[in-house]
Amino acid sequence: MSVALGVTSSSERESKLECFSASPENFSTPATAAIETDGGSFILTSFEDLGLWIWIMKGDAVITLQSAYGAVKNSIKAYFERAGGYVIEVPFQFPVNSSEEIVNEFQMALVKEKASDRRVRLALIHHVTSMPSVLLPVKKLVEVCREEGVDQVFIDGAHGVGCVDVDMQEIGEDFYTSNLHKWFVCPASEVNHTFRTASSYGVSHDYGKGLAIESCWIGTRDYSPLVIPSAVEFTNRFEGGIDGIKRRNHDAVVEKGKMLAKAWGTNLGSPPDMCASMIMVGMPACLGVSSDDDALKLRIHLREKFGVEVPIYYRMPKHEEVAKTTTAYARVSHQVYNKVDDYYKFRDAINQLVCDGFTCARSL
Amino acid sequence: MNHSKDLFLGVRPHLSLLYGYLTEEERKEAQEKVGVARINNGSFGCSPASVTSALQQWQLKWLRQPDRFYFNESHKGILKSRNTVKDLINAEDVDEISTVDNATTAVAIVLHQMQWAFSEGRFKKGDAVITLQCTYGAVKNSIKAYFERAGRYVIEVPFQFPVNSSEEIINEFLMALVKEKGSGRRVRLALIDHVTSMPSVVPPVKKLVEVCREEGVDQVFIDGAHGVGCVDVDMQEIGADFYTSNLHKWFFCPASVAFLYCRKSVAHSELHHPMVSHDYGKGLAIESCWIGTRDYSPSLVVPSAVEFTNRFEGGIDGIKRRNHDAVVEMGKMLAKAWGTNLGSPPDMCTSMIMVGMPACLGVSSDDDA
Repeated sequence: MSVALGVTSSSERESKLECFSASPENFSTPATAAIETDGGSFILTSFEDLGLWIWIMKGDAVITLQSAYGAVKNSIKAYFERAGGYVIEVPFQFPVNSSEEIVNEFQMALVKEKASDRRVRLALIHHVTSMPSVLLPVKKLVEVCREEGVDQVFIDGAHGVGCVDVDMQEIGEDFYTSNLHKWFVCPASEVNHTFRTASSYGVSHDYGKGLAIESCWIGTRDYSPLVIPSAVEFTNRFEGGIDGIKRRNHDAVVEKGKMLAKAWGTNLGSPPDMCASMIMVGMPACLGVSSDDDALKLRIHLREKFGVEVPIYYRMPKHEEVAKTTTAYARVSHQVYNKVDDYYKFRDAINQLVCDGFTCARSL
Repeated sequence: MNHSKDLFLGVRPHLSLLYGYLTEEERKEAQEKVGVARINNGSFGCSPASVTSALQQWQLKWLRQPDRFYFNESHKGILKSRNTVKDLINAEDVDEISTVDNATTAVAIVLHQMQWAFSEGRFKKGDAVITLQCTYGAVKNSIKAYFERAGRYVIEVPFQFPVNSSEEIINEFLMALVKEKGSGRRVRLALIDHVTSMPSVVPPVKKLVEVCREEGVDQVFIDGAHGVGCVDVDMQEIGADFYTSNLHKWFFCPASVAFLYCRKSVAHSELHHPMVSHDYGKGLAIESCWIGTRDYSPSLVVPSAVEFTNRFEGGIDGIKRRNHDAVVEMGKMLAKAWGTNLGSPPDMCTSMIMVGMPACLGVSSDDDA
């Protein structure tokens, strides 16, 4: 059984090499149900494993952006902080105006820590943040990490493959993870990682043979999401393959985002070149979203009453901002199955709510 | 309901197990179709059509409307499965039950908390874990990965096979513990298989747990990978701190679903799933309900598996008893035909039995086997 899986994994590796420009020896295809938090825990487990004894001295740091995914922040807390590590969270302004803002904040944070002699062991950076969703200038951030002496760089591309360009030689990081069930049409869940050294949390018969082999078997489970070659075959039916799909998704979601913002009199959360297949669209301030809870309840309301499924991000206003500032942004996605009517439905639902005088405080 | 159509995927169990649900023709047809006499249920189990159909229904619900499923269905469904397990194993409280992928994951959870105890100074270098020599290979790797790596001490109790009696095992175990106590070593964990894998034997776990308590072992973890549906699994009877069992081996669930039982008296705040997600810190049972996006449908079909076993006379207990009787009968038949012996007394077998093979085959390594 393990031999058969090994062969299957090799063919998967082959089929993905084109997409990722990775060297085969660096490439691991866990034949496991994959989880976006897998990336976080895999690496941090290995850090924790080794770090307690070798790598992490108390006070050593990990650097991440404030917008890092909540579950990943939990991983950092569970493993890194618990072992006495220090967490640097770089402030993240949203709405975002340019890549340079992000690069500058990041560099300032690193320079400051360097000046205080703190060793930064790991930079954990999202390729595409989740909520709010923004495409980060990862290549530039990796360069900054190298210039400022960060030991290792881990790019969490949970939304990577099929959403943005993912090229290991271009990005130049040490670790990269991506889900394949989000934007690469695989069923939940499938992931790929590239690693130098790490070990899986689920220790089974192949322990010690390297992560790529260890990940092929972490105990009895359903390994049938081994459908990556089928996903490649599917995407190749479209003009331009996955690159064509990405490009059209991006163009469509920017167009729809602008349409919604215009219809509601609001704004986008970032410039279009900092979006991939998702865009943040401001929602009318009169809806009165004033907490994460409001945002979740409004989401449920849209699902139950209007048949629209869209996540909503609550943006806490700063002190100096005026009362009517945008506090809610919808993260709108586009994939091959979406039609323009989906976005009109959303537009009209919000217009209806505004017309009805809906507010989260009164109506939910 | 047409029970004769309730096919196991790819294999038919022996006719006597199903008491008239299959005709002889149907059984032969199934065997011929598959072309394999699969007498290895122990490795990967089996799942009947009613349960795999339930699995597919859950999967489609999830794939079609994942957001709605995540918010409205997933946690409720897993809670129902956890309650089902709690009743199956006579646990006191559903909070003691967490669903996990497999026993491998359960072992990782328990050893992980030990690793933190060492690194945070609650355990000392040289504190030990005790296990039997025949402990499952992957579990030994886990011990190596989490325990040995930082200089912790592993006691492997010798295990004679063929086995003649439970007392042999108890005596060796007790001797090993007494010796370590004598040298002042603290034994933090006993990790004992409920049913060993290769070779397969049922150690006297209840007695071994008692010995552990008498000799001051901190915590006892029974690895019942083959547990539920194979042997009697009663948490009040066995008395361990931790118990894990796969449900895809002998309880007709599809791969993979298992549980980890943690007795209430254990400090649950120290237990975490290694895959950290949004519910970190809310208790292992809640953490385990969501460890990131994946297909949770195997965890959701446990009630369907109970419904299936209840169609048989005596339910899962009847199935266990008939499996045991049948495998002992078949084992004796083979040993007689080949002029060999069994690997243990019948009362130390469950639904699996070790049968000696003719020496003239010349099996002289794991590789030959």
